[in-house]
Amino acid sequence: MISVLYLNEVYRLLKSRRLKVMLALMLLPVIVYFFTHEEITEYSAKALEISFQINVSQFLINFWASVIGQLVVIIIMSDLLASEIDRGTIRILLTKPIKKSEIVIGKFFSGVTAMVIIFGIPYLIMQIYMVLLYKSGFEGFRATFDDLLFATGITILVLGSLGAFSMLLSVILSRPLYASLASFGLVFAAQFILPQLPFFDDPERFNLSYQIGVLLKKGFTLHTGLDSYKGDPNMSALFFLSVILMSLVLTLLALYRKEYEG
Amino acid sequence: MVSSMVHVIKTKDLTKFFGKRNIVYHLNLNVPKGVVYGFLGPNGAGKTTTIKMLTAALRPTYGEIKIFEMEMPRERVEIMKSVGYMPEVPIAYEDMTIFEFLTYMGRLSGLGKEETREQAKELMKYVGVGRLALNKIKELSSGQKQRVAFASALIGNPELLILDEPTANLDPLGRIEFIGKIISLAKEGKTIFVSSHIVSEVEKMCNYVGLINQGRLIAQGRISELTRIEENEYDVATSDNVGALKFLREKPYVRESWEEDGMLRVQVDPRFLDEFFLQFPKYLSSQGIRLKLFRPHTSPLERILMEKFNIGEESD
Repeated sequence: MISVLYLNEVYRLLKSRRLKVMLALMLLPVIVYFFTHEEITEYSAKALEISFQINVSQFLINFWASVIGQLVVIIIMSDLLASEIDRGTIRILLTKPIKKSEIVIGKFFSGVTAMVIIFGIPYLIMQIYMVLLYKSGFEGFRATFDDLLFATGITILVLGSLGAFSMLLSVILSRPLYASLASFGLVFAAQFILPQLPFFDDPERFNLSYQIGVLLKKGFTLHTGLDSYKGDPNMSALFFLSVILMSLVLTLLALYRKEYEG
Repeated sequence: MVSSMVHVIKTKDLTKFFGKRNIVYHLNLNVPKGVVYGFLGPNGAGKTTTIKMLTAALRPTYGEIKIFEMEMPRERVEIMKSVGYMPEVPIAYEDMTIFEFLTYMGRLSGLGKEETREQAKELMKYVGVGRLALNKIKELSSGQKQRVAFASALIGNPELLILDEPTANLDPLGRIEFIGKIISLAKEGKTIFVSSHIVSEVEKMCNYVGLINQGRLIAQGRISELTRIEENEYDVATSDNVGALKFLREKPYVRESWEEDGMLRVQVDPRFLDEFFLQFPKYLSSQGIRLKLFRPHTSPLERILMEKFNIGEESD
């Protein structure tokens, strides 16, 4: 049953104009790179890999996982359950033999799939373009493929935790717009306002982009610039994974507690 | 397992408060298997709230619900394998086509891919939206959406149908068609729980009724039992009502008799029913008066309803 719900949701997301607009938005860094890429002095798979790690980590920290990327994820994930509650279609779902946990998990993974598409496609286009630029062929593609998967995985882990948190708020608030605004407000406060208070050491670590840098350190070993991001990647990964799991459990509890009058 | 049940829906002291407002109060519904149960009451009586509790959209404040002898909402997933539901306002995924929506609902009901497609096609024809299969739901009229919602309730061939004001958006012809479909579904052995505030519709399609007013169940049972037959009161029509009336007024055991809309109404002392049955036909035949109609006077459901609802209001 979960697969029916998941596939339907993914199909609905793929058909939506919103996903196409968001994908176009996420392609902006790739377009920027087309016109501003570095001068190539060495045509090898190794040089390509170093350049890929540097460029992807810069774009990821400064654009893809920054405020704009976070907003995209919040909008997608807030809509998944809140739109069902808002439109009343959750009542139809509840009259079908599907568990509430299946609804939450199916919805979450359909949102994750949308994130893979929105972020993964720009990363892939960037990789292919760089392979062509460095004239490294299949060998270059293979050399950077692991990095591509790693970058996608890190993106999904960090932004997925934000998405799961948005889903939780969306069930509590029942309206996609309110949930998006509340999620963004809370995330903005946690990243940019809270660290201004004088009680915290290294306030920059509260920033999701910063945490992306910490996590990338683990896999992007050829990019020494990432050493400036202080923190243990394993601890960060554990933290984001816990946020995802906790948010999903709380979402499920909220769904159990909720009544659908509309 | 399901087929051996006596009561498909059974509630015990089902109560729902919204804040301090009491919407449904100690409701004890008993819906036997295979009946068309009309859940009748005026707007705001608590019909939709009850249905929302039956379909797990709302949690009872207290009381219990058993459907197919399983507890709702604890065993919701198992129960919903045999339930089809149609909400009072057609709710659907507006961006889907009718066919997409029905296949999605079918798959969620546990049908296989091919089976779902077949059933969706059949049901679209059955409810009269076959030609609109590829139209998006948002492009449909409210009546057409109602038909789609009915088809979605039927997909998966559920044993119990819960229909909340199903004819609300239908035109008069659509209503007649719908009532015909309910009657034919009942003949297939389905149990149908249908809420309505239109008495004539309930009379046409239901054989069981539950009367609800201000959240309280005022009466329930077979319509034939509820529209009580007053045993000593009869409707009589003859070829000469004046002559018949003359006889009736002479007899001491006839408590009252009068003419109303070309028909005689006769109230007989129950202790002398045998005499009445013996003497009245004899008198008519001796006078050459032809008996056109003789039947116990039955109170129509509407009249019972008014009577019961007044009692309900007084008790508050």
